[in-house]
Amino acid sequence: MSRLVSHVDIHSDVYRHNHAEMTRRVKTLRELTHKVRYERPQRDIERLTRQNKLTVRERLDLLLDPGTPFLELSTLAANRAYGGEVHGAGQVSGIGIVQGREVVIHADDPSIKGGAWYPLSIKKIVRTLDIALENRLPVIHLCDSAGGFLPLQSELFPDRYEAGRIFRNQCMLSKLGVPQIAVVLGHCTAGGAYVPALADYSVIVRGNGGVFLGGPPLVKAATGEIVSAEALGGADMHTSMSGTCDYPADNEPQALAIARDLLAQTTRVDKQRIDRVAPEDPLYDPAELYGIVPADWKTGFDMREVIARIVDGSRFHEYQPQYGTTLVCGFARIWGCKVGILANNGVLFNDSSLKAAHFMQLCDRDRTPLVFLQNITGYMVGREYEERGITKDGAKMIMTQVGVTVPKFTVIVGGSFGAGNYGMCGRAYDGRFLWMWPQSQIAVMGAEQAANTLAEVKIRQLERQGRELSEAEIAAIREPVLQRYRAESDAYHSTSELWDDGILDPVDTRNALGMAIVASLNAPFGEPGYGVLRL
Amino acid sequence: MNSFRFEGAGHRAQHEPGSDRVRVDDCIVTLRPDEEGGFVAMLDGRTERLQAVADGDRVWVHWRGRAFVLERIDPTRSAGAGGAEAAGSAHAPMPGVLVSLLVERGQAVREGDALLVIESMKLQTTLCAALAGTVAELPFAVGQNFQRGAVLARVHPAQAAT
Repeated sequence: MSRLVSHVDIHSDVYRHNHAEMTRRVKTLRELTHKVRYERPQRDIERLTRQNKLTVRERLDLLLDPGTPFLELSTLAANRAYGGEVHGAGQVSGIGIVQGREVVIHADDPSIKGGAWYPLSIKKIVRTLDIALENRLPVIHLCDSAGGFLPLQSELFPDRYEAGRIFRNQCMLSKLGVPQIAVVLGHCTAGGAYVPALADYSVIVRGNGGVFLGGPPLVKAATGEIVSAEALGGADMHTSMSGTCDYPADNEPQALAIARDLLAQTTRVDKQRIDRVAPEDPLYDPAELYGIVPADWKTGFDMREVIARIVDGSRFHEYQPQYGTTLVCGFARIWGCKVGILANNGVLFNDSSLKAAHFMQLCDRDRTPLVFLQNITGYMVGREYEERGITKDGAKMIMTQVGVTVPKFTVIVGGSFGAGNYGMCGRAYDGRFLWMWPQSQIAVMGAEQAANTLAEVKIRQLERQGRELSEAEIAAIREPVLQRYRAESDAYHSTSELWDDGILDPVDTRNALGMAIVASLNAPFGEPGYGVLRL
Repeated sequence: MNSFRFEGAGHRAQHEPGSDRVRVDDCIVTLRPDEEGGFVAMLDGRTERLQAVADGDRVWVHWRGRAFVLERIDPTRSAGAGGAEAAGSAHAPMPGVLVSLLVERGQAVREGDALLVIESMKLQTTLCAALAGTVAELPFAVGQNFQRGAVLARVHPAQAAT
């Protein structure tokens, strides 16, 4: 494989401007992340201390192997919802290492609204368990939740991917032979009671842990029975009488130690065998990514410069270097794992779409995972391109992308617009993981295009009524659309709604991808097979 | 390293499998690592000690108080520089609108200098000079639309220095 040769001038004004802009954005990202992880009102911390509880971060420190990485996911979920008060949607999720094995963590955060499940908390838990299912990763649940947030029950309870899906996913994990361990550190009430009940193993802390379908207040209201939480569903009752939980623990550190030991009792599965060698750092410094990504997402840039700062040794074998040049395709290694990369260097044309489809089939046949680096404003529009069949060529790309059975990973580096998002493995396309960069944009179309389209429709409507709009009236139609589109197109909105698995500092992209690729190898790939291509 | 460049000339090197012999062009060198992280080389019955450090595709060799640099030749890389845009015209890669002109007619440009910025499908692309010369034509004005393949700038090559 050839080494990529960078043409970036790190002393140029453009580089410095971009670097300053990205540095500012990453600072904002870090500050918000710190706030979400650690900043809590003093009274909430005091309440936990009084209850003899640890914070969720302290729990993770005791659970995970010391000094190992924790790939936290959707840290900023719900940052634009519920008045910005439900940090991380009240949940911590991610992939960590326990006893040398990758596990998925699902942890309620009791310092956020008592660990109550908001609609986006449910979405985050379901996504977390989907990750466990798709990658066959053992799950450790750290349960400490006040239960569903009742004022929003209609948004979190009834639908296919709402609360019931958590328990359905637990059943599917069990059916597929993926171990689950629940540690009951607080109350698991109503639906939440099924989390430990559906786990293979459960540990419960004396005094704080409680598992019941109806808590003491509900029991009193329903039947008049007056009973304490400890008697109704405490550690000793469940581990000696009901058999709902397996191991009592005197305190949280003991409970977490038991959970670690339990994981060691489950059988480790063999990873899928792919082409994998010893990893090598990129030749070019990943920190230079800051200066490469333009401050304005509309400005094009060469994605090879990004690839050179993500892959092993900055080595890249480019496929069809002279054909369909707006899509860069080729082979590289990340953390030693061979991958096929598809990266946008402009709009998708007929030839770039066909190239993508062919390249994905080659990777699928050779069991090579796919990495999509998105900076895509869409497939080319216009008469010439429609006549050449741009729509059916894009359909070939989408059909093939859905058909491949190797794991897919997506990073939205710049824009992710319209059908380009589909072809390049957007959220709906079952990639194993999807991340965004801080300045990236995602929407069905650009804000200006949407505003102009809507203004155009309105102008024509009124023209038919014989009215003509003034400049000010047109602006009055455009402005609100522009503002709403802009607010809803940015990475923070996307991550708030869990359209992605988190916003990455660009320098972390390589490690996030590396950890995700290696984790994905726990699941079998399946046999290649495709739908019918419109040739 | 199979081919490398040293002081402007290309050389071939081939390690003989299962041995510590390396064939460099027509010579055989015996090369063993020493205890200090360097190498002991034997050539024509002489023994030389040297240090070598790889930095990407370059290898720095320190021998008898002097430093030498060897550059790996990548056999998969073509010798020409792209070639596609060898002529001096900048063609529109797709239909779009001219956003800004960064040069004027008659201006001298170097290879790689930015000529103009176009926008198409929300994306702004800077087109650069494929060769050094003088800007001869800029057929489109800012704000004007163009079709794919339209000539957006023509650069007359500079006369080769004699």
